[in-house]
Amino acid sequence: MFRDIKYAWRLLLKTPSFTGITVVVLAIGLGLSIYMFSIINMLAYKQLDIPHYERLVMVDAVVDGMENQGNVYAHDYDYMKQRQQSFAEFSAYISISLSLSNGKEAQRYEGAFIEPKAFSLFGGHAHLGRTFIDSDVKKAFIDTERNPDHSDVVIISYQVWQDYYNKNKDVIGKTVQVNGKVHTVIGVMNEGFAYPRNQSVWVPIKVAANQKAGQGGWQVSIVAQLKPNISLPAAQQELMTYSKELTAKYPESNTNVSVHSRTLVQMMMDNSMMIVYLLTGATIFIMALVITNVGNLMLARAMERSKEVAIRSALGAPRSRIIRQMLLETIIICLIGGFFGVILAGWGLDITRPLFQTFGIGASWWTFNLGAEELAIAAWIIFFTSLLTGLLPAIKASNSDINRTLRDGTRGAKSKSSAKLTKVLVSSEIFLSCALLILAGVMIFGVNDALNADYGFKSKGILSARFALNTDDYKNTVTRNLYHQRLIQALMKEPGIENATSASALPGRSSGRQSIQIEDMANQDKQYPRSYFMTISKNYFEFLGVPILEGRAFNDNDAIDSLPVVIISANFAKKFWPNSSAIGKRIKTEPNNPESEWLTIVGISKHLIHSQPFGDEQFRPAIYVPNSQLAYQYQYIAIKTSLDPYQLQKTLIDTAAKVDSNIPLYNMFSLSDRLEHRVGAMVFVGKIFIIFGALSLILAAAGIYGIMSRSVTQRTQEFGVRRALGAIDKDIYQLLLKQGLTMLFAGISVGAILGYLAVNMLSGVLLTLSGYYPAVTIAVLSTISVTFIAATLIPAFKVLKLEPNSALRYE
Amino acid sequence: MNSIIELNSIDKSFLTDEVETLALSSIVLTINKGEFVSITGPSGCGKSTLLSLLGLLDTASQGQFVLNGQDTSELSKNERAKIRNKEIGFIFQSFNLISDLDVYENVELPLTYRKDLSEAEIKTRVNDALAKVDMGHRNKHFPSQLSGGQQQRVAIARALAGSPSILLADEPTGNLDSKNAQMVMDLLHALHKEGATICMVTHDQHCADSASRRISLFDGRVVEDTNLSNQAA
Ligand SMILES: Nc1ncnc2c1ncn2[C@@H]1O[C@H](COP(=O)(O)OP(=O)(O)O)[C@@H](O)[C@H]1O
Ligand SMILES: [Mg+2]
Repeated sequence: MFRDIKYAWRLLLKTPSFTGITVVVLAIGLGLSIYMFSIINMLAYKQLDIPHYERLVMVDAVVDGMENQGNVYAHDYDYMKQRQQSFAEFSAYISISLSLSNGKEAQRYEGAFIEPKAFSLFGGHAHLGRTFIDSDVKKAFIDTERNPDHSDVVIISYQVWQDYYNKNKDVIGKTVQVNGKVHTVIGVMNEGFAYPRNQSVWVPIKVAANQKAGQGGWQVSIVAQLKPNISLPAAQQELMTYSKELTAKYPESNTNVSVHSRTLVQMMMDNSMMIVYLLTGATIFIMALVITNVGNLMLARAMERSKEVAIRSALGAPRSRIIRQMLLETIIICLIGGFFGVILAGWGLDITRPLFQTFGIGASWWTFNLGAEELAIAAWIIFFTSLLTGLLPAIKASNSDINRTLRDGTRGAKSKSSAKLTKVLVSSEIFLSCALLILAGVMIFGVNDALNADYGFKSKGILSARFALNTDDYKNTVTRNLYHQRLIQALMKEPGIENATSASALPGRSSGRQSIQIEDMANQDKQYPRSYFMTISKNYFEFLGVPILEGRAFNDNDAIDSLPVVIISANFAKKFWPNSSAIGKRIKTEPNNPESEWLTIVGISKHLIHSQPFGDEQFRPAIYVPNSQLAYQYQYIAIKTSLDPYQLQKTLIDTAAKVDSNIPLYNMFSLSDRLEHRVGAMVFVGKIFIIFGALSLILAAAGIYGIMSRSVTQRTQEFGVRRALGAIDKDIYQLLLKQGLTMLFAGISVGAILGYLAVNMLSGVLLTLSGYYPAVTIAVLSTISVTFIAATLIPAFKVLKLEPNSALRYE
Repeated sequence: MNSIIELNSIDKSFLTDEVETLALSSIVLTINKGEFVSITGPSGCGKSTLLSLLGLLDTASQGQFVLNGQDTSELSKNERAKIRNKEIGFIFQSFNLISDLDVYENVELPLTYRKDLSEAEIKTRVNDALAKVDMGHRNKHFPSQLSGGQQQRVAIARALAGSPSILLADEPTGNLDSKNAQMVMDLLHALHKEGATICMVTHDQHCADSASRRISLFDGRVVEDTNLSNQAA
């Protein structure tokens, strides 16, 4: 065996260019697929350090048939929790930003209101002190924004303990202000615990006994653990039963509202499930191209030696030995290629790590390096690749007829099976590359569109930050609005700041959606239309450069005691008043609540994209009410400058401190950064597809050329015979094209169909893609056709340059 | 006289790996219509090279080759192909049938390169040629399904189909057993009787002697040129 390895090694060194090319192709292909599968594995299948991770389920509300649109009403959660049988645990949480303050220094963290069970559910334990127990939780549901009545205990993360308390062991029992209210620290969690996503401060959630049914109200996220013998579909079915009961009982709030359960594994991927499938598919295609190419190179090598092999087996060498020899060469080459591939993949993971950390969901849990798991994936990929690439030459060698090889009386493709193999190989290369290139082309254009989307406002030079007004000093809209106005005024005086505004949400920074009731309009869908809902300062539209198309912007006359007014976005107006003016019409944001006021529409603003510039999200309507008539506790402040917005970070913080030192600003971002983060995943996918596209083009061109030139060279003698019989060059070219056209046609049609299916599957889900399909397909098919024709004619041209005599004598 | 081929001081050298091999030197040769010429000589003496020059499969390095009164050095690539197609019929030692084509298609092949023949004409010619070699019943067979002798008969039919003015055969019996070899030789003699001009390279003394004229080559030169027509069968 060792001698065989040494011999194989010697043979490989004897043909350095062959070995070099094969290793490079393999290294690139293996590197890319190890990289991709590491990412896919991490996104989709990585076992986190959580007990029964696979049984953890997220339950989301489904509204209007759209998943994950808002959370589950607390009342509904309670209703289901009382009745459900499928889950061992059924637990609610609310994510929220919390500020910690020791009177001197205020710091803002991502936090959550959670139930005591959640800690063990997610594999957490207290590093110091204890986690929550049931008595920490009182019998009242917390009112997250308007009327906080928090419990008085808090648990902090290891990170907070380290940063805020300098790892002070005496932290347990100390008091701290959480959002302005005194709490006692009772625990420090183990390092790395960040449930549910990237949280670091936890306060107990209080279950609402008095939560009124049928009026919507506060919403929670639900995480649950399936009982071991219950399947997800069965559990989902059980929850749907309750959901239907709730709809029947409370049609006003629960019509078209149901729930959808997904495992945490699926949830982690969120909408990116599609992207994961897409990347998996594309990677498999690239790998198939690599395997075809390398397989073909190995095959060519085996063919070159077929006479030697035939002589050897005629002399009695066992065939198995010969095949083993060939397989050994393949394995050695694959191992070397794999080695460089792993290095490439590690490097790729290194450079994309920062990108992934901006993605959000679960990012803090993901590890980005080549761990044991990734290396195991790499080993499998390398193993399968060497098996598949070694297969072709080995089968070829074991099938070949010694007698035929030694004394071939006919001229043509060496044998029927070899010609068939050529056809299969070339058609596969063509269809794989066509499908990949179509997909890549369409994706690249689609992503480019998304990145250049017109959000409807000018995001350049805007710095934004969030703040929360504590409820003791800012109890109501009047005081809150006053603070907003004072902050805006103060900021406008600072040098470098051209304008300032505040709003409950800014484009690219999520805002809630609200059900809207329209006066004197029958509700056709039984379900109130939903719209983004924002409370804004009067200069909001001017600040963003968004024109008011009809009516007016808010002004100083819109006061707390004057007529309640609202501005709606153009597509809201168009949807409900297609043929008349919306101005003067009235809507309300709490349908059927007699206490909720009717808002009179005074203006229609140009549509702007509040969330992501893809799919349906970009078209969602919005309504705006003035801060002078409604102001919440949480608010964004934004300033505009012609400088680099981050240069004004300190100015912003200091000015805010001057206005009220108790209100810290947090979560500071330039708006364009924020928008870019939101499309970060898309940018990544776009870049990956540029690589996929380029690589598949190179692999396909090299592969098709390699196979065709070998097939043509093999037919040198046949062409010699044909020319001896009077064929001119044109006859030979025509023959080749005629025979090649079937392969080409089969390849490009399958490729175009596959490409179409892929594009269709993705279109609308991620991006609007299908518009690009025809043009991209035409471009791809012509490129591949030209490549194929060149790959056929160039080697033929070389063969035809020989005198027919030399062609006939060609071995 | 009725000369088909005139060679004047033909030289042919090959350049391989910087080494020049002189395969033929100062060949002077005239072949007349209706002759059956056998070319003999030890292996490597240039027989095949000579035959390929005669068949316009290669060009001479020096000298003049007149075919049917035309100086071949003036011919373009396509004109040479046309002459091979119309005037010359090749028979190879290793048959050189095309494996993907059946018997009929192999014989038809040279005719398809002429653009002036109708389908019907081609069909008659192919069937006539196959009948001549007694292979008409194997139309749909593929070369791999035939014995060596049968393959060579199909190859002869292919050479005949275009009604060439000269048949060039390079060791046509070299890959055949004696029975099949005899059959092929009988066929060639029959064709010669019908008036065909034939140039045949052979190792076999008996075959060589059965021709009407025997040329011996040695080291690229003609060393013997004997007229055998009186003794021949
Ligand atoms: N295409 C070629 N390239 C290089 N050398 C050749 C070529 N054809 C023939 N030769 C050389 O020319 C000489 C004569 O060859 P050939 O005519 O095939 O001999 P014969 O047919 O008499 O056995 C040999 O030395 C052979 O190696
Ligand atoms: Mg020879």
